[in-house]
Amino acid sequence: MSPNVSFSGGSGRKGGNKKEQVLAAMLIEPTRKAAAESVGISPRTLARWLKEDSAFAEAYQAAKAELVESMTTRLRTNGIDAVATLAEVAKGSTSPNQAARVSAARTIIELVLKAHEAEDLGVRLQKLESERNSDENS
Amino acid sequence: MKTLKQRANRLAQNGTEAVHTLSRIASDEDAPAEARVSAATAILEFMYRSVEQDILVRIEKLEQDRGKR
Repeated sequence: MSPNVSFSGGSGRKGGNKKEQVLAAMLIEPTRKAAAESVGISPRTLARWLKEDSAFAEAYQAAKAELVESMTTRLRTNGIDAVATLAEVAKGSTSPNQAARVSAARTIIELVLKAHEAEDLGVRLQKLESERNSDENS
Repeated sequence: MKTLKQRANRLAQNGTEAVHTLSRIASDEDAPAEARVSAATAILEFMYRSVEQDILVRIEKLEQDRGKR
């Protein structure tokens, strides 16, 4: 998967282009260290950007959320088929790779439900955060 | 005796290798179906666990802010 990451602070600011590159790298590399090195910056520089540049840190959170959202959409798309697979096996189907099909179907269904819970919690948290922010401003 | 930092570095290195292994198995069309499903499951579960971790951090921040008021 090639993540499409944009960062409004990516041009005209110090290190802007590298920041956009490393944002994309952080979504596909297994560690932050590997992401930093893949675009030619030190892990320490990346850690500093995440700590001191709030726009950069927010862009990273947004890119991660977008990646999770696209995976969740894909899981949901396959959710109905997953339920059908379980039903088919439960009725006594003897297709090849049956154990793997059941395991895959169960994972899809569990993750769709987990994603639903996480989204619900996210919405409720956002409401609480908004209320806190308006309390602070009043 | 190994220092804590050395142990942490070793753990991080093992973790990185584990993720590489899972990714390789999940995308290997010649691997047994059960192994591919298990690897893909582990990767997805890890990803959603990081979402849960983000939620916990936000809850803790809200609790701290409430404690200050």
